Amino acid sequence: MEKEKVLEIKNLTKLYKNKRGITDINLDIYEGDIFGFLGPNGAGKTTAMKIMTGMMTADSGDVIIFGHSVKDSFEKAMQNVGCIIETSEVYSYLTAFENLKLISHYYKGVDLARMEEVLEITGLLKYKNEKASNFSLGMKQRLGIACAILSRPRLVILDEPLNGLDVEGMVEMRNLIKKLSATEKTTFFISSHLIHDVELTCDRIGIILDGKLQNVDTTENILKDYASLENYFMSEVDKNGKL
Amino acid sequence: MESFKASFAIEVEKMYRKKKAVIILIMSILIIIFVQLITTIIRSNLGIIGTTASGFPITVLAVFSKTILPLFTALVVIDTFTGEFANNTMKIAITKPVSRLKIYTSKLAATGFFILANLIVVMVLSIIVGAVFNIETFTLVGTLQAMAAYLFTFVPIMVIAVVIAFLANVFKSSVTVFFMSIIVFGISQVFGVILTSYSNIFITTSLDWYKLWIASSLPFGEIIRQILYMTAYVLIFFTAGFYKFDKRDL
Repeated sequence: MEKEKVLEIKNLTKLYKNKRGITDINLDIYEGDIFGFLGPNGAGKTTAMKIMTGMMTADSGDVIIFGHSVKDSFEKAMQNVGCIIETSEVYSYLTAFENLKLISHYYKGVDLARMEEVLEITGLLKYKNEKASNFSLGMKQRLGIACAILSRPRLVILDEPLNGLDVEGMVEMRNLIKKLSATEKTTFFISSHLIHDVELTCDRIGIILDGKLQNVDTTENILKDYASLENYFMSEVDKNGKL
Repeated sequence: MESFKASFAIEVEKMYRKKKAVIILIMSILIIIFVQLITTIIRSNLGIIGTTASGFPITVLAVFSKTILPLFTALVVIDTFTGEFANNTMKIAITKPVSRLKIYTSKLAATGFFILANLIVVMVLSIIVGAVFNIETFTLVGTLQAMAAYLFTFVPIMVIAVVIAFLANVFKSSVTVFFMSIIVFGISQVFGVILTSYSNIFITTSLDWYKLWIASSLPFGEIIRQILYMTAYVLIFFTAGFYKFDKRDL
């Protein structure tokens, strides 16, 4: 059976005044994918993700999420999307629980039990009544992830989700992503500079260099030809004359 | 509509969870005490009545609507727009299933809720204080007139909020927006006095429009004229402010 297309990026272009940005990106993400978006700093990963989530407008092209354009039907497109872009932002003057309660207004069917559940999943249950201003970077990241998965979204877009997490947190995050993908068929679109972690987590990989999408393949296929994802990444970089 | 309601509820809750809300409430109470103190001093030193039960809330409103209330409104609007952009918390709302138009409108609606709540608190307290200290001049009609004056003051203050929201989406620094708001308010006040024949053009002139509603006979022509000027202000500044908000990349 053919998988549902969850996310379609069509001819997406956004150029900044310094002529950097992204150019003509085309990409399809299917239900259940754990897609890893790899690229060096400044390659255009965050720009693409910001356009996907409505934080930026594209110069041309479009992003279709669950059949809805983010340009024309933003609310419908984002109904089943959770995301963290660049940094995990929370209201620092509220507690972890109050942050979740506030965000729950946007979604139907999020009850107190679900809030407790996501706090448990992200290991924040015992800190639920502490103000976010007292949280470490890692705890804020966990709270951001709790907010992102609160509504049981079918697509989760995570930009550098492991930032600020300790080793234990990284392993837990990886397991959480895999668990949600397996049990709830949640689709993930993840950017990370931690190649090893992407290799262990993602089942499809796309490489972006200088604002252009170079190659998209499954992790399984890549590892047939290369000893590690890092080798593959470096060969793609070499091919494009970056080193 | 559901997403607007959600966004509005969130904006109101955020506004009242900050310590500023408590400070604003305390300041509002202080202005009532200040006006009552002045009235008592005038009464005891000069031997004149100073004010009546219904006159006291109107005196408080005259001071409150031209000083503290526009100032608080500016602070709230700046906090809700420029402050959220600066703290990066704007992206929490932007990335949720709610359009930018609804976010912008709900932020202004929440500001309106704040203005109304603030006016009602000051109105109730000043009516009580006015009645307690001037019980012999207390009348129901006078009290109703005072209530009408407070409720009608909501309209020009809301218009000022829309203007400040525009400035908050033009300038990136909260300090710049605050000073620009003060400059615009000051210029509007001064020109409203100097250029009397064109005073209706300046938005601060509308701060006195509650007087039209409590006059012995309603000056309909003047009321319609002020409504049209305020509508024009809202249309121009809401459109321009939303345009800037919508086009802003985070």
